[in-house]
Amino acid sequence: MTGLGENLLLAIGMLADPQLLAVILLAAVFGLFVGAIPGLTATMATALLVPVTFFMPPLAAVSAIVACTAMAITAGDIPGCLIRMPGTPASAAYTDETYAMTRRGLAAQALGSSLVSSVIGGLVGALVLIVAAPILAGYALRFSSFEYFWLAVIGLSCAALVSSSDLLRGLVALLLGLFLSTVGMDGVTGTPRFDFGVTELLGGLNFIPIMIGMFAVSEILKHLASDAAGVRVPALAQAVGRVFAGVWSLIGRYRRNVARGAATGTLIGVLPGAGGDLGAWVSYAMARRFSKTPEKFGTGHPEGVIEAGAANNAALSGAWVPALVFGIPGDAITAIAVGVLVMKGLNPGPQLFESQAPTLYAIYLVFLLANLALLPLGWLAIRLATPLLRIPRHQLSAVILLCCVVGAFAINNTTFDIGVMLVAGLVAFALDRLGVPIGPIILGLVLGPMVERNFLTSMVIADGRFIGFFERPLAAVLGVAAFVIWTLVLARPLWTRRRRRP
Amino acid sequence: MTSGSGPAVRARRAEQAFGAVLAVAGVVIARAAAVLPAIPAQAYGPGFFPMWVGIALAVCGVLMAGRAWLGAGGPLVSPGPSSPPLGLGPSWRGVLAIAWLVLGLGAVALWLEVVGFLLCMPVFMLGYLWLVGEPAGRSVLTTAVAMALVYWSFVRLLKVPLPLGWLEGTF
Repeated sequence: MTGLGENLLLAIGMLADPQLLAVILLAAVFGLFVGAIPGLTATMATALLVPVTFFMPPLAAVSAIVACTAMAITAGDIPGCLIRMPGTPASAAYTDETYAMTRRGLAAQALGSSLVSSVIGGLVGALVLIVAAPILAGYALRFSSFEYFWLAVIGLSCAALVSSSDLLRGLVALLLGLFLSTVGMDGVTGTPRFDFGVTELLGGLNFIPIMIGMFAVSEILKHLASDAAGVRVPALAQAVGRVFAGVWSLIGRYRRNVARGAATGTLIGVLPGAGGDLGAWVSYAMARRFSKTPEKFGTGHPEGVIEAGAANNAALSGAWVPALVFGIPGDAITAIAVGVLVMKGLNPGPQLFESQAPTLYAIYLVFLLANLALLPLGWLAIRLATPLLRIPRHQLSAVILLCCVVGAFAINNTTFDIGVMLVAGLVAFALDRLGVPIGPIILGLVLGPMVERNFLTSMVIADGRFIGFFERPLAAVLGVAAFVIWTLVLARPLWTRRRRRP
Repeated sequence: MTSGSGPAVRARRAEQAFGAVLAVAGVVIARAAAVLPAIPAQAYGPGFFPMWVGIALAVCGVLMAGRAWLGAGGPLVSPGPSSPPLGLGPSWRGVLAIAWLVLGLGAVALWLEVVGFLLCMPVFMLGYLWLVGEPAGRSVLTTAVAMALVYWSFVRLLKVPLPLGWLEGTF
């Protein structure tokens, strides 16, 4: 308990730094801005932020990412509600509902209730992170390379399974990410792999230019290539009134929905590859399923908005549990965050909870702070919604391209990374046209070295016997779990086909 | 198994081609990985992991091409209204804007060091904004403000040595 108190005091001391608070505030405002612009995702906000975090101390870098993503996901509700264009995919689940509320003259209520439920969901997710992560880290200290190998396999499997409606496409994305992770000198023997004689590739592919290309450049290409001619941002139906008027009583009435959304979101967030988007869709469906008035859904009813709003923000915090404890990211955003942590010398894993405990406690406090800051900043963003939505998006895309070039260059001060960013953007654009998800590529890229290192280490320990992967009890449980997941996935289509037969 | 034309057939053909490319790429990766030297006195080495990744990619490619040939498979576009269009439509300006973006970024990657950031990027941005049909005055203003902000924050504040190229010695 003394350790906890000491760490907490140290963490509060770290957080009291005005420079750090300024970074959090600026990142939050940036997240609100990007989230409120239709088509710019929270992942893109993080991708654009990472080159700047490169120049920050570790705590400031992680805090900036936490604040930015929480704000971006919540701000994504604003354009969805007012002009039926979700700011981020995490808001897409209930965009029609909030827009229907706007048409009924309830825009302020829709935005206010989703904001408050997001704050509650985010706080619940953060509390789960604070409680669950150290407990899991205690268990994880007993893990060997066998357990880490199986954990990474389960994580990658889930990423491939839930990232796309099509298993094969998810798997292809994952394998492409794993392949990219093998480019450059092998970590054990120093043997160059797939470098094609290019000196810059010997050190491996830096994930930041790839991520900027895949999430920012490809998004702009997608917008340009869209064939839906003549789409313009429509004028706002109405000015947004008092944001919090009547919201608290509404939240009280739907407190069960808030609790269920927060719980569902956190659980889905912990699952690798899922993230806030899926959390919101599942929660909205659950709200409808358990509602006493399901017929009201789709007509401008706040029940689903409140539940899904709580879920997408809770998932954001939940995704950090496996990221911090095992180094296995929960979604694309935490994959980026894991990359930043590694870049800053804070290798995620159970040892981090012992060697950098005050920093981790400070990160926990940032989660709480960022979610509490959502109330005033979210209110401000809603009040400023009209000018935000009138920013010409062509101009914005040109500025984003400028930031992409500078961001890619700034990591290693080399123009080679601008080329990597461009190629990654083109590849992601092509893959998107083919329905291949991008998230698993980043997860594969980040997790690839961990899978390979733990596999080779385990093979050496087991003297080349694959049965060695099942000899430790916990490794056996995890290994069997991985096999069960894949057996169920592969058997399901056969089972469905057999049932359809007369 | 796929005949005629139309978006669905074109999409299936694209998937067949993608599957074939994946299968070939997988085989090439697996072969290249297989010849990498193993760790001394061990059966495993730096080639083991990428070899299996290559084999898995090849299998996925064959499955994807086969599935498209048989006319089965999932949706070909990612769901979700997350990417509202910019409203250019399939016009020549839209195509040129894409070409400018791709070739322009390629040129920036090649010549940024020689020409310099302060000359390269305004040309790229103004060309892009002209092609997407933005008014000239607003484009110049956006470019000037964005360049000033980025230059100040990255070069002055974060000390990133953005290349000055031809303007070396001027600043």
